[in-house]
Amino acid sequence: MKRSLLLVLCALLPACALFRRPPRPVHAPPQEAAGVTFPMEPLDIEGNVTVTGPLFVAMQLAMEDFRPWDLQPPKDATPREVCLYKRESYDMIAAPAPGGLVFVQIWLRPEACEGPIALDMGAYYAIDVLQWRIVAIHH
Amino acid sequence: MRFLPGLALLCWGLVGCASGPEPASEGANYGINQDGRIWVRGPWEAIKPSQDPDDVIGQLCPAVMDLPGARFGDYGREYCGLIYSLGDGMYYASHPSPLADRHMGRVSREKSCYVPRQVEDARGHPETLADYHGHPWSPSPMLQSRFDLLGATQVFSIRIQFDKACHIQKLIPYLKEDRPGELYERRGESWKLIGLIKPENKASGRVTLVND
Repeated sequence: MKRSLLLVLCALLPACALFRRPPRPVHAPPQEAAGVTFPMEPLDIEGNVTVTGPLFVAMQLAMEDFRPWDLQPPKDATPREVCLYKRESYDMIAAPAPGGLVFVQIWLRPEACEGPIALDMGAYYAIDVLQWRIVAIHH
Repeated sequence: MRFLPGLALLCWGLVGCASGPEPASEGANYGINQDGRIWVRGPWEAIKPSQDPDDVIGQLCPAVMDLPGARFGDYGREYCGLIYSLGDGMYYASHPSPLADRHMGRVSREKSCYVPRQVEDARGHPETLADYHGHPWSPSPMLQSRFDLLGATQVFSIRIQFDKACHIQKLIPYLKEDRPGELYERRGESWKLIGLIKPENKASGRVTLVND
């Protein structure tokens, strides 16, 4: 009886590998952190961007659908394909609308990935920021 | 006795689910040069040449939508091609190319096709006027595809886009001129100006709608 239970456990435990947790950010070693000088006023730095919490989360939700954190390029992927899988290859606009909707547009930054110009690279989302769900995707 | 055929059908169906659409590979009428540039062959016999490029544009959508997968929405594919002349006063359409990056996201509507950079026409030296591409859905206006409006993605003087229902739009980016880019929609036999891209917005592709 115990032996069969053990066998069942052995068969099922590998399935735990399927339940992967989202990755935590990597922290630099303390000596590298010690070398960073924080600006007194980040708004003084050219190129700064302020994003409200709801807009940020709407963008995060859209990107999580567009390029999920656990989406990996295939083993035979070309350098361009690897680039197209990366979230940082894309730019975004988030526009709040009445009724708790935020429209999020995602598109490939043209200079991000080498190769031919491929039209229609991106997606357009309507995000419900009251219930945090994707209402519609338009292409 | 009925179990085995049922199981076979289920397995066949599951394999079908797992495979998905195959990425397009090079064909006789389109391909990738050694330098990575996309080429298409012309002329496309399905399109009657004309002295008026609008006549050529008007024939494109129905012909493209007859191609495999061109109307299949989320399960379809896009086709890109070129409109060109040979200096003989006539405009021709190239064969369309389905070449594109492999589908990668989970958004099934993420479809694209490469803009061809040159036409192979044995009769002469083609000069390209416009690129064209079709979307497998409708409605699907150019306004909602930011990438297609960016200054950095404009290759030729005109960009033509149409959707499954043959709503045709035309972008004249005027990239090298100090005047607004123009976005038109085909209405019957004429073009209706629906938006402008101010010179300062050409990089971002921001469209200012034109009211009636």
